[in-house]
Amino acid sequence: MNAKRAIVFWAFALVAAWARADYPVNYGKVDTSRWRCLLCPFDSGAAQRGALAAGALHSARGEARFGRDNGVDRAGAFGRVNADYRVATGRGALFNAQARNLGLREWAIGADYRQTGRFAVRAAYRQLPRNVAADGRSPFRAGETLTLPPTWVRAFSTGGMETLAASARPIDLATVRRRSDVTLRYSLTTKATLTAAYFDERKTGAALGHRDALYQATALPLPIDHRATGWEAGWRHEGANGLVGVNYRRSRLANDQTAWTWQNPFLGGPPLLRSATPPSNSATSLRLVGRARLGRRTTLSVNAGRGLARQRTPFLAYSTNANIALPPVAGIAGDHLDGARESRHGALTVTTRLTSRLAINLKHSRRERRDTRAPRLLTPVLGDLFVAGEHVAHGYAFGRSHTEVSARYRAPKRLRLAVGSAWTTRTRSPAEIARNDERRLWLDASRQFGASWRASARVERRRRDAAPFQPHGTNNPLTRRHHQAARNETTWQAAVRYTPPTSGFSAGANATREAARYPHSALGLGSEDASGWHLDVAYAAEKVAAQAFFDSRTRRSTTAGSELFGSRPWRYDIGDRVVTSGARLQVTGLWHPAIDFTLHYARSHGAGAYSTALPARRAAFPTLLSRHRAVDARLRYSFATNFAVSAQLYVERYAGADWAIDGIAQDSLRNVLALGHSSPRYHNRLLGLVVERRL
Amino acid sequence: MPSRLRRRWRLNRTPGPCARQGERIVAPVRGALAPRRQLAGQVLALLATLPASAQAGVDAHGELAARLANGDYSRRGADTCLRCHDAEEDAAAAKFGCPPFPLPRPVAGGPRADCATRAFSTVAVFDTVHGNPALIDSPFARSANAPAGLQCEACHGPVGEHGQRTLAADAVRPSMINFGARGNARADLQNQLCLACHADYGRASWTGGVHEQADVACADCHRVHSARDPVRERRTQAGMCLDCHQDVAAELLMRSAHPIREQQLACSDCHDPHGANEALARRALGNEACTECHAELRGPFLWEHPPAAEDCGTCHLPHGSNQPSLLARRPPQLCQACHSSVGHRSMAQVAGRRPAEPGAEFLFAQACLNCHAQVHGSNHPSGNLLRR
Repeated sequence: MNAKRAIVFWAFALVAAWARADYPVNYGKVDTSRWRCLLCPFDSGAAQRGALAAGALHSARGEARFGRDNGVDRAGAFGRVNADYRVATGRGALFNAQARNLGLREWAIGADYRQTGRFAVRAAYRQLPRNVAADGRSPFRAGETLTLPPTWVRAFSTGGMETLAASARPIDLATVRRRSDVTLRYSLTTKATLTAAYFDERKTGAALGHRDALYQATALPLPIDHRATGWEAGWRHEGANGLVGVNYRRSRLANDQTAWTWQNPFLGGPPLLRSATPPSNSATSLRLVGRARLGRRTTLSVNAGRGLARQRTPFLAYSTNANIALPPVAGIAGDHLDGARESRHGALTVTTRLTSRLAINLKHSRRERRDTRAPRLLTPVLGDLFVAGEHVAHGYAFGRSHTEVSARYRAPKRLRLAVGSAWTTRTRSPAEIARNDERRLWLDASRQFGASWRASARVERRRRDAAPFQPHGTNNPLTRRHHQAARNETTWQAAVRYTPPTSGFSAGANATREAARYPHSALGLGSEDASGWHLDVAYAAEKVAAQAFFDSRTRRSTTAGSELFGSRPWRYDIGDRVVTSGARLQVTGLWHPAIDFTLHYARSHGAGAYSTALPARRAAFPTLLSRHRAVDARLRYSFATNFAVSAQLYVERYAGADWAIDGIAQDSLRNVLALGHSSPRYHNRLLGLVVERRL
Repeated sequence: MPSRLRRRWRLNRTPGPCARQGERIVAPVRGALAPRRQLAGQVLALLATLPASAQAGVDAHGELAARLANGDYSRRGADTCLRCHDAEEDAAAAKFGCPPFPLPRPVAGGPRADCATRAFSTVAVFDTVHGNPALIDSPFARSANAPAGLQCEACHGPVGEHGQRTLAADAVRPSMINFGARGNARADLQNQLCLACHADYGRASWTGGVHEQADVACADCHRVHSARDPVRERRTQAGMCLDCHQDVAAELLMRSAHPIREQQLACSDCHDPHGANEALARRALGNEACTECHAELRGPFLWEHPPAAEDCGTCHLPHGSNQPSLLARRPPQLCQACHSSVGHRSMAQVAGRRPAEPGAEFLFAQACLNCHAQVHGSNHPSGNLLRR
């Protein structure tokens, strides 16, 4: 924080200390001596509640994307059980257990027990599958080294790989996470609490990875098997006028596989290639949280933290090519990264209500990250074929300083105004653009008209200055840091809502527009625009509720470029548009007191338009598509006290198109042995029948 | 005794007390109408309210604040309230509940899409910690110091004249403090009542945070009169958040998205809605929020990719994207936003290129990542170009 900001900050803090009182609450006249609570339905003894829902689902098709995250990725029937049990003793003890989706690949169980005011403990387990693609093919066989079949014929291009078609097998790119969590909270006193937590997560499966030789690349089903564990402990003290808490956290990633090795399917490089896997690492963090009241209406809160990330995985040799005359780790002082990355964060916020109508907020935060390693001089081997000369590997440091002041004023006639300003400075070292200064100014107004109408508007302007490019030895002078460039941004937002009281009716509309311009871009950044608008309507009556919405979002950007430095004859235009709409109808007991019906509809249509304008012609890529439609109908019949049966029908249709992968067979690209997978396109139907029993 | 009192209470009630208070979220339409006619009647009732709604906008905030200061609490506590606000009233107002068995891919988003939004029940508070007399800080705790122990009035304020048994025919029953987006008190007053007990560690940074500054009331998200607060349940949380964050609801339906609709992730896994960090991130230390799950990308690496080390959001849109892997743009255009193609063989930016043509490897399949696959950093001594 510089001197100017510090003066503003502390002057404000002093003024805030004289702020007027909050809404006063008068407890002086309360006499609870006759409060018996005779009508209160307190539980007497142990009260048990619970529900067991068991049933079956039938999926008409097996589709990886449909079951991407829910485990319903094959055709056929699935048994499925949900259970929920809860017992309270009436003396503050509460036991709660839940099970979800038992029978599916995605499932979870958990239980917690708490003696309120004393302690709480919770344990949970979850299995989380993730499907990426199931329609790809690869000639590689899984193992410690990804091997090709003995009949493989190496070639300079994919067209010459004669046994490719015969040896390729379907591969399933999917992972699964198995995660266990335990948390504990123990109250030392009414004000002091200890917390502790532990988690263990193992991720296994196969991921898509491309690896190259020199000018030839290969898609590989890379095996994944690593485990993350962590624990944390904290202490907090909460008083009437403030609190303080500290939390220490440590986590570790263990990846026993230090390298991916594969047989080179191409001629022109060594027969065996190797790349590094994500190294095992560890991270610790210490966090401090505090809050105090200054005066009666001023709050000061502090949030600070320090983190340390470290990895000590031994380096691999420079190359698998025995013809390269380099010692295994020549030029490296040690056999692993000797250093750590340190992160720090601090934030101080002061909020005060000077009057019942005026509130002021002041915030300053500082975040930084730096690498403690010493720069290393290395001699990388390019493509396992050539020594590329000496390169320096160094860590990067980032800093971000942010100061923000804002005021909110509640004017008469239910008008609310807010104005704010912020200054942000970003620094990097080493970097092409070492520093950005950003100033932000916003104005926000909302007004309630009568009891039914509410309107709001917001305008925000941001201006970012960037320091000029600076070389630091190994950086590329032709690199343009998009996110570090100077820019002018403006955002407009407007919204209106109509909600007549007591009617159950609500309708609203809003619109947003963001525009960014790069006035001083040396390398062609032009403009970015994002806009969106939204409509919704809802009505809720005693037995019927209905909602519908429509949402449209568009992002466009323009960039200039060329193949030659200095001129910019080309222009790239990118336009992404997503239109989403949905409706919901919920009917409860309208036709029959025991019958509930719910109908959901959702539609999302995404389209990405990419084009290049050259001096002589303009060419557009095929549109990227992502069309999603889903209908979800449910009928529930309570056929007896505490018994119900539910029938479900869920229909989903998805169609994607992606010019980068669609129609690209394994040998379509001369220098890339591709996977040959394509955009998902399916239509699936789920039928479900569930019987529910409530305790 | 209670039933006799209840009968007498009903006899003395003025017709339509809820509507006259102007405080109910949904006015129950009771009567002997057939279901279809009931619906039509409700639509007519709605239309009838439209012209009058402008005049109905009585801002009760000042009156409620004054009543708090006056401290005119009831003589019999919750027994005063429960004579009228009983289970029978709940039955009329709280028909909708959460379906017990949601589909594996629920449809998220849209206004008030969450099933529990309307699940309001007065007596359900006794299924929660707020209605548990065994808890020393509970509003229903016995022998507790205010605000604990003040039963219904701990949150809804002193009953004052609202608790009068009889009203004149043309009198309007004063409102109690009602909570939520359609409550009759301003958000700061509502929140003051909540924070009287809940100004704890989890809310340490609430004041000054984005939600507080936007006048979000606690009850906009939390359902106190519900055995299960939907915003605290992984299964139902997103529905509550997406009610307001509808742009995110749209993003979650895009080609690639974090599995929030599938209930594997909850919004609160990454965001702290009570916090004051940028974007309400749960973890303030750089990419820590991301590497909590993606620990393999945490590094540090021998060769860093500075934008990845600085901020994952440089290349990824965390909620959803039309591109694979949550990318903000499709490679190579994403990469070429920073890296010029000058000095490189890349002709990737030329649309209309065919896969068989030279240079197509820079455009199709993984584009730049066909070779520079280790974009998050490499630990290989020869990984200076992020290829190993």
